[in-house]
Amino acid sequence: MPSTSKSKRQKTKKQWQVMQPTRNWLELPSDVMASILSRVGLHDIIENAEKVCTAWRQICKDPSMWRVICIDYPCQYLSYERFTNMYKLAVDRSQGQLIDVTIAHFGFFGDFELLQYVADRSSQLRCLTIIAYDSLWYRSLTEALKKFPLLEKFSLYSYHISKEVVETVGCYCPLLKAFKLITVRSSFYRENVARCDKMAITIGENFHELEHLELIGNEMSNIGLQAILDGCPHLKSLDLEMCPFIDLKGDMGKRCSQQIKGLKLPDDQ
Amino acid sequence: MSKKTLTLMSKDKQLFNIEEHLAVQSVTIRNMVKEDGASSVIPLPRVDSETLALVIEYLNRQQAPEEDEDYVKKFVDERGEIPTLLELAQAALDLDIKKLMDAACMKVADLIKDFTLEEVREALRIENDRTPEEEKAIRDEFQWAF
Repeated sequence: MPSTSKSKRQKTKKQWQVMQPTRNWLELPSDVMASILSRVGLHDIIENAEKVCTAWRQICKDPSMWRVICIDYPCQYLSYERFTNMYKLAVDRSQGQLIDVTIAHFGFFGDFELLQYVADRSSQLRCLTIIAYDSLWYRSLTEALKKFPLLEKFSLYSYHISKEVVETVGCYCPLLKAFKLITVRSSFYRENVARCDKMAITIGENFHELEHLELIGNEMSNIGLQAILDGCPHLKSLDLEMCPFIDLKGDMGKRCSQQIKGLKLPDDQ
Repeated sequence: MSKKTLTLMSKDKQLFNIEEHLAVQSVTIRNMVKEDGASSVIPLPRVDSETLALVIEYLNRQQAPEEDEDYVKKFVDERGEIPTLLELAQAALDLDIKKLMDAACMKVADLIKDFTLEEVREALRIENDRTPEEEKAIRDEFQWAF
């Protein structure tokens, strides 16, 4: 066996130079380089990666690098203008091939504008994740969903998930296979049960082809759950984590485990 | 389950044995086995013996599925040198072992993330071959960024 250098995780650049064999790393398959660059993040690509050399710039300009974009406010200070421009550039570069987008801090720093920007240029989109901390986004979401006819997976993190949102998604996304609704909250109230059951009934009415459903932190009761089980016969997985008003001790529990292969129960059941 | 053994040959002609049921985590090998039984030696002309030894160690891991993710992460963390990781990523690409490829690339990305332009070039031995025209094109495209 050839001797292997055992020096662990050297931190300084000097040591790198000592270690460095004479290999030219640009000879690496471009798939490897692209895979690395796609992981350094948009901000670093624009700040650095792209300026390293011609080969890297070509990789960074390739639409395939931009099929998945996560629009999140980076920790470094950025002006609103710069932040928006950066993501618009990413969307432009995808040349309509964007398939998976996450938009966080929605309704914040003008993200309405970015969602619209994505919607106008990404008819191939398959996965959409929205992390929304207020309810101002609803109209803008409706407008955007009209332009994502191929959407297969939609995830929403919010304080409040209404029947109307579910209806809108049902109306514009006929191919939806996976629906994830996460209610972000720390306390649960009985008075919300009726409203959440309505939301669940709307799921049952609108998503007969649904295969995966996550309803985390939801205040629905067994009434809502029954409507889902009746309305979505193709469900393969159902996640009911942190749904405190679901009771699976009796027949409902039996029915769930018979009908659904991948069942995740509320914490205490 | 049969304990058939396969032999892999590195670029520098070293031979490594591995049980077939472990080797087929590599999609490339799995396809070869499917096609012709892969009875003879499988050559890997772009993978050196040092890297292949690591790949074999990885394929031989005995991890419970729920711990596997952590194991893969630790596996690449312990080989934190960029050259090793790049070789590993290339081997994982050739052998089509997605998890290993993703983890190695993620680690390199993490390492170079905070580097300056010059540091990236230095660490990867890349020369700045950009022409003045290209420099200008980049400046124009990113005008808003400066």
